[in-house]
Amino acid sequence: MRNFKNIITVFVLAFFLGNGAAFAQDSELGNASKDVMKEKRDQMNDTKKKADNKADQLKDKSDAMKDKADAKRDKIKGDVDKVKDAAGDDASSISNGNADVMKEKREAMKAEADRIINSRKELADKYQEKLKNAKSEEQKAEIKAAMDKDLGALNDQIKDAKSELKEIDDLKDDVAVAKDEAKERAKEARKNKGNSDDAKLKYLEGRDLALARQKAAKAKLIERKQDISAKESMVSKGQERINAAKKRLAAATADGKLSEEEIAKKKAAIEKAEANLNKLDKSLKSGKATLDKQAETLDAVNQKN
Amino acid sequence: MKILLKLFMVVLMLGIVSCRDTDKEETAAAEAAIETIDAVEEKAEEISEKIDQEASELEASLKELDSI
Repeated sequence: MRNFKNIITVFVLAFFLGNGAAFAQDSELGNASKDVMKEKRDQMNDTKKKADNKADQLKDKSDAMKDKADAKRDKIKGDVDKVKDAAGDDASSISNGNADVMKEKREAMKAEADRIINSRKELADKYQEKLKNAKSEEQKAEIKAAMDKDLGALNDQIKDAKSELKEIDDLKDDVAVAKDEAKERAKEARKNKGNSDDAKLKYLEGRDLALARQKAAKAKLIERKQDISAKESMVSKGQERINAAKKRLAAATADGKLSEEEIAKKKAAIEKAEANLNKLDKSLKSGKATLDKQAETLDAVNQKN
Repeated sequence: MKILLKLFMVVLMLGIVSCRDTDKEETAAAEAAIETIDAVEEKAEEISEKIDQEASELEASLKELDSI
């Protein structure tokens, strides 16, 4: 028993001595780790400086883009003023980017052009009949002169109406390009913000990193949900446009202006638009539900941490 | 002395057995959380891309209708 006691005592002594040595080693390692930490801190400071420089560059880039956007807006405003002078009507609503007003104006202009073309055709037919019935060469020459004069005036009117239509179409294209550019800018701004957030996340680790990532992901989810809400209004507006197109097609078919082939082509276009609209509507609904579930998952991650 | 020694041995055993690497556990939990967040972000990105594509398809087909 005594031997056993001695053995245990030696064991315990060896254990403490071993631990003492380990502590001493730890202390040495501690000093070494201090140096490593210092080095790491210096590296982090360098990275921070680099991130600051990057942020400054991004800010400069953003300012440059803003200036570009302002210049583009001024250009579009100038174009609108030009159309206002040419058309002499309420272009102020066009300058507000009101697509419906532009569309109405275009339709009115197109109807006017069609009316002039029809009256020109009728007038030409009348003159042709008169020419047929003319008894002498002199009479024919008189009728032809009158026909050239009247039809020439109508040709000028048609030319004007067409050029106005072209101006409206050009303006529409400009507005569409500006819209696309604005979308791109917003996307890039979001991306830049994301990059800056990523730079901040570099300094975090473990639980803090998980929490920061969770917060950022939640913010992004909210943004995506807002995007979906914006697209929902696109669906309702799209439905209105499809209904309007259906009405126009029905009216044109009733007037007998279109051939069978044209009617079939336009019907196919309407059906394609309807299919795309239904597809988007379905995706928006399922996307919204999925994003809600994802938000719940993120909340659960937060609670676990 | 004998009792004290036994007690000491028991305490020593308990001390050894109950040692846990909490840092490691925390890191593992954080990594699992980050993986979940990555999966959520990936899925959300996928949904957004799909919706954007379908929206542009719809816009193109609606533009065709304007000429009717």
